[in-house]
Formats: sequence, C-alpha cells, structure tokens
Amino acid sequence: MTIAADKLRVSFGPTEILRGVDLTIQTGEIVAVVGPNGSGKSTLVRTLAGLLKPTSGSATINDQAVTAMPPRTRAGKLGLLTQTAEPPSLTTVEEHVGLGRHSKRSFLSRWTHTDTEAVRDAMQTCEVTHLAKRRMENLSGGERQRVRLATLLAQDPDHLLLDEPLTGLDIEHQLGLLHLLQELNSAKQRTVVCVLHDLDLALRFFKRVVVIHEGVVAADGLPSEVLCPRIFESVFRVDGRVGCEVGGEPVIMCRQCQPQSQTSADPPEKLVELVVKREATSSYVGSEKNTTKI
Amino acid sequence: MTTLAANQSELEASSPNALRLKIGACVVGVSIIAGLLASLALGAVDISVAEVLAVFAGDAAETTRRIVLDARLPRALCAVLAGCNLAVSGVLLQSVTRNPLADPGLIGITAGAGMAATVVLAVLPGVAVLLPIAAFIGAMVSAVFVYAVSWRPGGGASPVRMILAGVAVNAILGAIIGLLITAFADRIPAVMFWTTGSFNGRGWQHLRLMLPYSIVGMVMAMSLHRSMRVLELGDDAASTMGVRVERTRLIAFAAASLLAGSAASVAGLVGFIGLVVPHLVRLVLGTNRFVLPVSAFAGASVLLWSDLLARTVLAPSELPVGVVTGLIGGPYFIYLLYRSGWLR
Repeated sequence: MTIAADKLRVSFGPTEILRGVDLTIQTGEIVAVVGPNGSGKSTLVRTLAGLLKPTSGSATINDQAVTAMPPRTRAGKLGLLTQTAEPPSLTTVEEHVGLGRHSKRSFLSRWTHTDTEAVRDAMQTCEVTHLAKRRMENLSGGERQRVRLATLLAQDPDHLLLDEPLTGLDIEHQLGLLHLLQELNSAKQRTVVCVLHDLDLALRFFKRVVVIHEGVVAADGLPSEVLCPRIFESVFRVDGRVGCEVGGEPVIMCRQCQPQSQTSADPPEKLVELVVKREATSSYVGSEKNTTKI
Repeated sequence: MTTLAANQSELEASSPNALRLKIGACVVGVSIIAGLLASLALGAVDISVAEVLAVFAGDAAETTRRIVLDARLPRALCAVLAGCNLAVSGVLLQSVTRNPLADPGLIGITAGAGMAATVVLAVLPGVAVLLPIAAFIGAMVSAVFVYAVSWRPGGGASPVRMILAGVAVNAILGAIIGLLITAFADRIPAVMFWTTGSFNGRGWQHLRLMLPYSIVGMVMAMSLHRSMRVLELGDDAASTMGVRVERTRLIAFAAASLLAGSAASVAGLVGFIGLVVPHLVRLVLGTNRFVLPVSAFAGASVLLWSDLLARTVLAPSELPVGVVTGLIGGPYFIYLLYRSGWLR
C-alpha cells in the first residue's frame, strides 16, 4: 500500500501551484509536509486526498488514481482532516463523530453495534468522551479539533492526511495532538501525513520530512538531515540552526536573514534562554512570521 | 419513513433529544389529524365531527357527503401536501447552500412560478385553466436557469453563486411582474390574490397535479437525508468522507425545485413555510437530525391550520393563506428566536 504522486501538476486557473511533485509514501510512515506559505503543501495534500484534479501527472493509492475511485471506497483508504472550518450548528460531539461512519454505511443500512463501538473508541482515543452530549459550537478550539480528529478515526481510513491540524491550538494541545498522531501511527500502523508550519515540531515528532517549495519537493528524508541550515536559508529564507540544548531534544532557532549574518557570534547561553522562554509562553520565533517581512 | 426506522438506534445514543423528537412528532401528528377533522367540519355549512366520520363510514346525506369529499377534503389535502413540499424544499435549500436564509423564494424558484402565473392571469386570462401547469413550468425554467448560471466546470454549483444567481433572477422576474401588472392594471386583484397564496376552490384535480412531483421530490429528498448532514461539515470534509458533493447538491436542488414548484402551481406563492418551518423544527428539537421528516409534517400542519383560519376567520369572505402564515407565524417565530438565543 502506497500513496504516490508522480510528476504531479495542479493549477488554479492560470496559476500553477504544483509543478511536478514526485513523492512516494509507504503504509505506516509518519511524514511531515512543511514549506513556506503558498508553497503548495496544502494543495499537495488535498490532491492526494482526491479533492483536486491534477492537470497532468497522477496522485494514486496502490496505483489507482484517487480521483477515479468511488468516494466511499476512497474514504475507507484515506481520510483528510481539513483546515479548520465553521462547526456545524446544533450538532453534538457524538453526532459529529457519528458522521464519520458515513462511508461505512450503505444507503439503507441501519446504525449497527459496530458503528456505536467505532464512535465510542474514536471518542476515547481523542479524549472527548466527556464532551459527548455537548454541542460543537460551545467547545473550545482545542476540543473541537480533537472531535474533528475523532470523526476522522470513526471513518477508520488506512491513511490519515492532516492539513495544518495545529492551527489555533495552544502549545499543550499541539503537543497532545502530535503525541496522539504518533500513537495512531505506531499502534495501528496507520500512515500519517501532516502539513505543518512549525519546523521544531516536524523535527521532533516525525520520522520523515518533505519540504515543498514553489510547487516542487525541495527536500525529502530524515528530519535531522532535511532540516538543515541550507534548507532554512534557500526555502524558508531565514537563518536557522539546530541545537540540542533542552533535555537532549533537538530544537531549531531561526531568525530573519540579515545582509551581514551575525548569528554565529551569539553565545549559546542566549539561545537556551530564548528556547526555554518559548516553551514556557508558547510564543515562538516562527519562520513564517519572519519570511513575510523580507 | 424508512429513514426514521433506520435511525432508531442512533437515537438511543442521545436520550434527551430522543424524547424531544418523540414529543415533537406526536404533537405534529395530532395537530395534522385534528386539523384535517376541523377542516372537514368547519366552513360555510358547519358539519359535526360525528357527521364527518359518518361520511367516511358511507352513511351520510348526499349534500354533506359532497361538501366533505368533493370540496373540503381535497382542499385540506392540497394544503397538507403543499405545506409538506414547501417545508422540505426549505430544509433542502438551507442545507445545500449552507445558508439559514435560503428558501424557495430567495433562490428564484417561486419567482419563476409567479412570473408565469402573472403572464397567464394578466395577459392570457382566457387560458386560466393552464395556470397551475404554467406556474410549475415557470418554476422549473427559473430553477434550471439559476443552477446553470451558478455552475462552473470542475467546481459544480457553489452555494454562494446559487444564492446570488437566485437573487438576481428574483430581481429580474420581479421587475417583469411589476411591468406586467402595470400594463394590465385591471388584473391586479387576481394576480395579487394568487401571489399571496390561496387554496380557494382547489380540488382533486389540483391534488393529482401536485402528487407525482411531490412523491418524486420527497423520495429524492429522503435519499439525501444522510449525505446532507455530512455535507454540513464542508465540501472538502464531506467529499473525503465518501459523499459525492456535486451530485448531492444537484439532486437536492432538483428535489427542492420540484417540491416548491408543484406547491406554487397549486397554492400560489405562500411565503414563510419554506423559510421558517425548518428553523422552527430545529428550535423545538434542539438538533439538526430528523429536521427533514419532522419539517415535512410540521409544514403540512402549519399550512393546513393556516388555510382553515384563512377561510373561517372572516367568513364568508376569505383571506389569502399567505397573509395568515405571515401574520401568525412571523411573530411566533420571533418569540422563539428571542427565547432561544440561537442564530446569534
């Protein structure tokens, strides 16, 4: 079982977003897709999920084009956590998660015990059981995102695609969600492909990182190899370094590129201080914010 | 109602809603039966309920039998079916456009019926027999036009474009209607009476006209019941969850057009039901589930009682039924909105 993109090109009108992406992801991998704003990473994931038609090339699961698959069959193989949307009105958490069972039920089939169990398991895994009777519109952003993930799990696809699942979550919930993804990946051999903005988290939680830049794969491989100063500079246009100062875990420090680089002159103590501050307050020196100023 | 049965066990999962649903369904059911009996009994000649029942048992006076079976029963059933159609049409359009303000009026379907009816009533009064058919065709043409305008290859018909196209079509057709009634000013009363909606003089032939489209529309609507709920999560999410988004939207729009068009062909332009009954049902049930089947019955009940009031309050003269639905339903809905704090 593989998800694959082969010379994949996708355009919106006259603008070509993906310009020939080649990518193969095996079942059971856990992959972060990173890249600057507008690089095409969301487009890539949405195309892999069958939402967008390639202008040329192909997006396939087991050599079968995703757009050619019947929607219900596709839903059994591949699920997508879309970017955060308005929650549906008057819908309880339990009902929301239950909607995930749509593809498993034929036109007139009854709600079965299997469905009830799938919903219960999904809610337990995502720790939203206590919210079951609450309405979606009354939940916090973090709770809602966990419910959306539970809905995806109730759908029970082989491959999980997630489009910026951390948007709007505080640092605790970001880490919680990523640990959950790791668990889903290791315990049930589910493929996880996750679009991320935070390079630090990509480095710490994923076994493979794909960097998308201007519609092509700029780098692909082990996080420690891919997330290197060369990529930080050429793709994200920041000065970045990877260090191991906090509890042995790798961390990335980025700063805006300056005409005369002075970063190497910084003493390491200052770096540690900044990193600790970041963990504590969850305000982070992200690469995105800085690239926009250039 | 296979959908109701199929969802029984889903219900067990959330008991408070289940109770509200059962109570709501009972109230609606009882109100339809009571409304039917009252419609058959009340009118220019009052007939007792016992006599009404005797008619059905087959032992009543000929005149009583004819009043009940040939005049009041078909009229009441027309109101039931039209109410049912309008409410379901509203549910479908609100769901499919993801817009709480959508109804057959906003989307241009009823304007098409109104325009065609105005042409018949004002310009060609000689062929008034064709009024229902003309109105139905007008509604269909307008609906197809709106869908075609809002359709783009690859993207299907987007909800926003549907609404904007509907509003534009409304404006155009409204202007033409205005032009026609200015040119044929002597026909204004007939046009006005029709455009506010009325069941005056509706008989079995009207019911027969409406029935096939209603059945087709209802079957289409019921078949979408589940997909439409998933569609509320957004197009992308629904698509990856196994829903054929474009097809669902097309079928829902077609069903809504058939239902609203056939209702308009017989009842004229009855406002309020399509827009408000679905919301009313949501407010009472407190959930988005079962809104479609319950709205169908609630719409039937509301229009049935409205028609009863329309023809009895100022008897022997008759009010347009649209006046009743607006005057009584509107304030009640405002009260519900005020009390619930929903739709902030």
